[in-house]
Amino acid sequence: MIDKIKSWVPHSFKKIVSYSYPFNRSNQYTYFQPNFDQLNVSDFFLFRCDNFDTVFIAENNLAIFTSDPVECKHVFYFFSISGSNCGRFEVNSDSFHYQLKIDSEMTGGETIGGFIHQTAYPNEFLEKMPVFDSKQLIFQHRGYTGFRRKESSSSCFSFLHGNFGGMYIRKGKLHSMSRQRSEHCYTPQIIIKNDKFYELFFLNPTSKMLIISIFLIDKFNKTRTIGNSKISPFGSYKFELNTLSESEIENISWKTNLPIGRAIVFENNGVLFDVFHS
Amino acid sequence: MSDYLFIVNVGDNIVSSVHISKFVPNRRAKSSEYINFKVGVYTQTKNNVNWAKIDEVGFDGDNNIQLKSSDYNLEIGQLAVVIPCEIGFELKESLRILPKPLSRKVDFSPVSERATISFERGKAVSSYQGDFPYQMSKVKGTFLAFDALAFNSHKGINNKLILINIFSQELTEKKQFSLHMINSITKENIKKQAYIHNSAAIMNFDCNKDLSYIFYSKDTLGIPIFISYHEDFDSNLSVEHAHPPAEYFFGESKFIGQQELKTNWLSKLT
Repeated sequence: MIDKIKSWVPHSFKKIVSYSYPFNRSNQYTYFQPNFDQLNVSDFFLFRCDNFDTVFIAENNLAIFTSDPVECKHVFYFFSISGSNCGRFEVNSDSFHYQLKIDSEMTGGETIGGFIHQTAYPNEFLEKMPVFDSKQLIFQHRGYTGFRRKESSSSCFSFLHGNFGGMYIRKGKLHSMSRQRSEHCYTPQIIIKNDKFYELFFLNPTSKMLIISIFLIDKFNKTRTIGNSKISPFGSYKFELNTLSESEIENISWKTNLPIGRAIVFENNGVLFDVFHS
Repeated sequence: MSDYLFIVNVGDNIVSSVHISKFVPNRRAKSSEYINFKVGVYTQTKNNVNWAKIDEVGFDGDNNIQLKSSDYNLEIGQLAVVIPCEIGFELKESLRILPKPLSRKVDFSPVSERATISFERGKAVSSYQGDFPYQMSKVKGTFLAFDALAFNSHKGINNKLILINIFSQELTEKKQFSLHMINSITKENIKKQAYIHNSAAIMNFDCNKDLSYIFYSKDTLGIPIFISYHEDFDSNLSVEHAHPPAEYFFGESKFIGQQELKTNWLSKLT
């Protein structure tokens, strides 16, 4: 019966309700979407120029959409740990994918931080396509970031795709559709092993300070706090966890006001590493 | 929404595993912290349309379950589907239709109910948080993925595409399907790999750095996992799933975009 009633309610009304308090407590984006030509949004990606090499596979969404090469201006904006703009890099390419090797010159000397990807196409090309002219389609940059240890003898990068962001540049200024809502606990389906060294990177894609608390949960379900921090708007935070002295295998969890509070996890065993979105 | 998980024998001494905990992956702070469930493990052999139960595992007082492909006698390309279900649910020895997996959501928090899907070769391990959505397992569909994760194209690097295909509904016969690799500019066929329902298509491929490729099937949908590693020494293993075409678009435009994108490509491919 409830489903039947729901099916009578217009979609636009359901959307407004879902974005209104208290129903909006887990909505990760704002209701209002900017309406300007060539709006394209990006996930917030991590770069590491410390003891890792970082590459980024940027997607030429229009070429991928149309199935033919299209000239694209890719622009990458870099942000420091504190969230301030620290670099910009621009390149033109008509390939389906562009491979960017990120170096500290691009990042203004910052060794760790976040970046976003934006694209621009000739207007005359988009005007020929009704779906873009009517702003029905908005491109999203999800890309793939690859990491490799600097001193590694392996030529293999380990990749992960973008995760969350809704960020864009308008008139030279960074904006985000991501929002903080009620407190959420994110518990990745991983076990913290007793012989590994972990680096967890949290990126804040919102324009508000993000507060984070990190917990370990033992096999008796006892929780203990192992970290608390504040992450600046558009900033990032690295949390290190060395479990060499611990004897138990545990689960990890964290609390933030982000409905999607995933982290990028590096699990190191001294020689090799694994990187993944938690 | 609820999700299946899987383990698979991909050959070349690579062991796949699934790790799942009873903690709810994403929840509001005031919602229940964990849920109790068990998992059933089912597989289909090459010519059989029945699912055979090969395991049933509970937490037994622990917080985590880990299942490895090497613990089961799976042939190369054979999948085992891991189904979260309620403790009291009867998991029959043989099934024609897979049961709907238990939802591990406790509120409206986003993010699918994933598990860690890992691949291990020697000392190298690589993983991602993954799943196989139940909704996907009910439709035939088509598949299209790009070569973005084949960036590791240097000499001595092995690249594999593993296409995971799960069809939970009843089958009357096992049909032969084709996974294609094509040059994305000329649309010329480079390679073809046969596979069947409820298996993993495994395609080993080489990449020329100056060319770009796409992979497609007009027969079924599937989740593409790209694995790269250096053959000669203890190398990192790179494992990541390519995101589906809907992810190139934001918000409500996702599904219109995906449909048009797939039409634009598949109409040009034979």
